Amino acid sequence: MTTPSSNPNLLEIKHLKKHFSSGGSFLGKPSLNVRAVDGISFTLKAGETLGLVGESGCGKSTAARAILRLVEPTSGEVLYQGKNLASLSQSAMQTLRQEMQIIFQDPSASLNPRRRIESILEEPFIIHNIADKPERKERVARLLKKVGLAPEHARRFPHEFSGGQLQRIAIARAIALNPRLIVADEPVSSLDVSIQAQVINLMQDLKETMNISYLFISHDMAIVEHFSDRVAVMYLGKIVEMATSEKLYRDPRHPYTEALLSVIPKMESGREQQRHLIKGDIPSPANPPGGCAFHTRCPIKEKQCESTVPELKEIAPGHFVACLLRE
Amino acid sequence: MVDSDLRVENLKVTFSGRNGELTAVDGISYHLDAGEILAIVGESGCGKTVGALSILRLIPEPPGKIAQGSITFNSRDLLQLPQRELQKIRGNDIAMIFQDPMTSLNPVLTLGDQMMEPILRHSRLTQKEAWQKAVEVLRSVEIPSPAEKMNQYPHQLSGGMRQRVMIGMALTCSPKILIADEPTTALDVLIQAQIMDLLQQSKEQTGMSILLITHDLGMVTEIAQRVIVMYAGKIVESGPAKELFQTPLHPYTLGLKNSVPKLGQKLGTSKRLVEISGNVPSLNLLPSGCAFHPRCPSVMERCKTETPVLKKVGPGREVSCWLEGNPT
Repeated sequence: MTTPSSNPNLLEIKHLKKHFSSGGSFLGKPSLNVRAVDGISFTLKAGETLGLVGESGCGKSTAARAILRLVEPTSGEVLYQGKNLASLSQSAMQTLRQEMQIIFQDPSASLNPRRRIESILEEPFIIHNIADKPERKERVARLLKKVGLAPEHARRFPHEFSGGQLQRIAIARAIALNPRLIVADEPVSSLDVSIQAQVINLMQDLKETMNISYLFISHDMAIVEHFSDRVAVMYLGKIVEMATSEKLYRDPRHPYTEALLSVIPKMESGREQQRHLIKGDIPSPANPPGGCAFHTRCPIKEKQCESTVPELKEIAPGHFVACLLRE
Repeated sequence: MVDSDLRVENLKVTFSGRNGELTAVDGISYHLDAGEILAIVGESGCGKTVGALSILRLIPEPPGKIAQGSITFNSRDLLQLPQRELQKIRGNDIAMIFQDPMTSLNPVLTLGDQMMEPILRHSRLTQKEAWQKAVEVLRSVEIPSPAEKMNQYPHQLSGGMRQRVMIGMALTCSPKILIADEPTTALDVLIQAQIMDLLQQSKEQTGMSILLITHDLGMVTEIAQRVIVMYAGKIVESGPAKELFQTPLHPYTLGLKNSVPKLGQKLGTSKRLVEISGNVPSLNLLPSGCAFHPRCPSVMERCKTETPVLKKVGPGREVSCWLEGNPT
């Protein structure tokens, strides 16, 4: 195992899988095995932002939870600064949790409605036994200021805030212990357009001042492009394409990425752009198609795609694609 | 003047609650021409949905109340019609689809039952004919194996399929106007594109007009001819879609346009988005004067006390701002 100092990767994910089984054989019904995350690998460097995009059900949120061990991965490795998280004891894991935090989509659901903001924000300090009461109070005030709120907001309850302000509070809680890694799961999807930019800018500022790495999960291709250094596209539990955001958006190679990019309405141009309209729905991850999982909707599919599973291959430096026809 | 299908005049909708009366829609006027797609954009709480629901009087009364105004359709004021007359228009001449197809379909009825209801209600077809028509409609919205789907329940379909069913249901009686309230917000991007294409196709085939309520500015410029921008219950700007977003005249519209990252235009050195400061005001604490003034980058003294009115500033373009279309 490499020592933390010699490892440039903050996070290294190797063949991570998370399968859920449901049903069972009580009345002779076959059990369902949902392969939510089906063998993904990627790395995240310190200070880097990796965007994870895909449609609902593609496994992006499950991947985030499995990485933080909020759900136990089925198999695969999550190396944080070279340490395999799966091998850590609960108490060692809890200590390490100071360094890795998560922000959820809906702040009104992730903040306890019956507690004042100060009690929500001081909890990380209590759990990890940092600072005494007066100092905690001071730290809460500092946190609020850092995310653009006022110290007097500490006495209020979550319902007294708007969605954008609540997300700021959720961010304040996430940065309370100076984390190195923040997993942001659709952090702006529930916010109004004019507020989204505020929260994205706040996260960007924190990245620069606190040297935070983000795993940024979103379905909004434009926001992901803006915010991420590199982007991974997921489809049915697998990464189908990964590259720097410049490369991926300028020269998408996987037909799924092409489709995602082509259907986004652009404010400037009209309908002139060529659209790759994809027919059909995302198949169920409980019963994914054989071969390339995308072949049922792929506009360029050939016979071989129905039987051969494409591997994620590096087709240009730093540009990975899993497509038999675009290798 | 173009023949207009629907004319909303000075509509005001209030809600009474513990904190007194809130004005959700504050005197808006607009018209929807035959065969056009008119988009109403704005953020949550701006009154866009309440305004649309009022057209078919779907506001729960009380606590809601249509306090003033008129909504003229076929030279009749919908707000004055008795319920019985209104029933004939709902789902027949004016149909509506909602954001979340899961909550707007009845989970305990089969699709067949739900599809046939408007047909049986508004036509003289028999049960059997209605069934056939419903299958036809499902086929026209590209539902695979429609006859089989008639016996299925909403939970057996995906979100995109459910929205197709909703659209099909809305189109069964060939309405003249379709009100679509955030029809794709709950759907994935690829499915969004499919649904918008379907709406546009149906519009071209039937010649109906669409009132599209949305917060998605990109979608608006793609499919709408005209746009109305709402803020805090009022119309702040309106005009032809492409023009309006190319040269926004209201500082709020300009702010909205700038705060959305544009695809393929990674902002080189400056990694910041242009943001609109502050928060969307809550309706019980509306600022004085122009409701946008606390967030406005070009605010003047006068904006704090005097409320601007919607004023014509160019062909088809109106703006409600003391700068009268010269935002800085």
